Amino acid sequence: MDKNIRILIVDDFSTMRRIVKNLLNDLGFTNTAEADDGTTALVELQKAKFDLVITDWNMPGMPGIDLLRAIRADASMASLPVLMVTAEAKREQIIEAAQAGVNGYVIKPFTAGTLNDKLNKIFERLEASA
Amino acid sequence: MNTGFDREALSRHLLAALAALEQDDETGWRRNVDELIQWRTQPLVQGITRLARELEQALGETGPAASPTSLPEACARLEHVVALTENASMHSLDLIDECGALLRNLEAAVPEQAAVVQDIRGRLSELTATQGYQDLTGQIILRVVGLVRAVHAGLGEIIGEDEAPVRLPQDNRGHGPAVAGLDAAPASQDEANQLLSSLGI
Repeated sequence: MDKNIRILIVDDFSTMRRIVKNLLNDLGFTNTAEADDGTTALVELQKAKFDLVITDWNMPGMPGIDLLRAIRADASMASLPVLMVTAEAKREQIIEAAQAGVNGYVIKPFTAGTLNDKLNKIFERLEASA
Repeated sequence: MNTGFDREALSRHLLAALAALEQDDETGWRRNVDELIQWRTQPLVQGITRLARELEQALGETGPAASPTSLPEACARLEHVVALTENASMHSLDLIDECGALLRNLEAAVPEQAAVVQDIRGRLSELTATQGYQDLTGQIILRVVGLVRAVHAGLGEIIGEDEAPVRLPQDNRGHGPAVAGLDAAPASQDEANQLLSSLGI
């Protein structure tokens, strides 16, 4: 796996952005950027090419589910992998995210192990499709 | 408070409304019916107004210096809790970073303990993930802050002229972590995995 892939971390809580960033660093992924809601994430996505987006759902401004829809609706990003990391854990919400085209779903609170597993799964698919 | 049953006034308004209706006097029957409605709802409005004042007073009596504590101030206190836990979490993450640097030195100095160092790294990763409690508790607290602000705005409107329902917005923004006993039980990671796999993801 190319450890230099560019990853965008989207969460309104700076603690959670740092946690995800540190856990990615532990796995050797250090090329990350951060945004605090869907709107600022879209600005980052327009500025540079990213290989993966890790986003929260519940955020002020644009929530993660709308960010996911915006990404899927944009032809230049439609196939960009999106991992949802969220405390939203209702069955219908998971289905909503799946229907919107999410690539993985991690429920908070999560362990480092769970996040690693989900990331590895997405990375495996990225490699397979490369 | 006008809670008594004023039979004479009641019949006067009823009869006047009936007479006005029979004479096609719309203004007249509306005025009398409005009087009846006001008589009927006044105790309710007064009760709610009293409750609002008592709530403000009760909050005021909790402070050590007996300073009046308003609902907005109660919200500010809750937001302070979020800031405190954020600082504590960030400090923990700083310490975890420092431990990582110390482990790199240790690994270089004592290569035969590489396996132990790796085990400690794994635990530091879990410690990092555990700091996510700050995000979870923060989301719950900020949701309560939103509710209290809505109650405050709603009470203000009742005391004032307009009436507005006090409700949490129902939209797709997400609602934060489920609280046991209050919200529907959340899906576990295993359930989410099964659900996603059944949807081909």
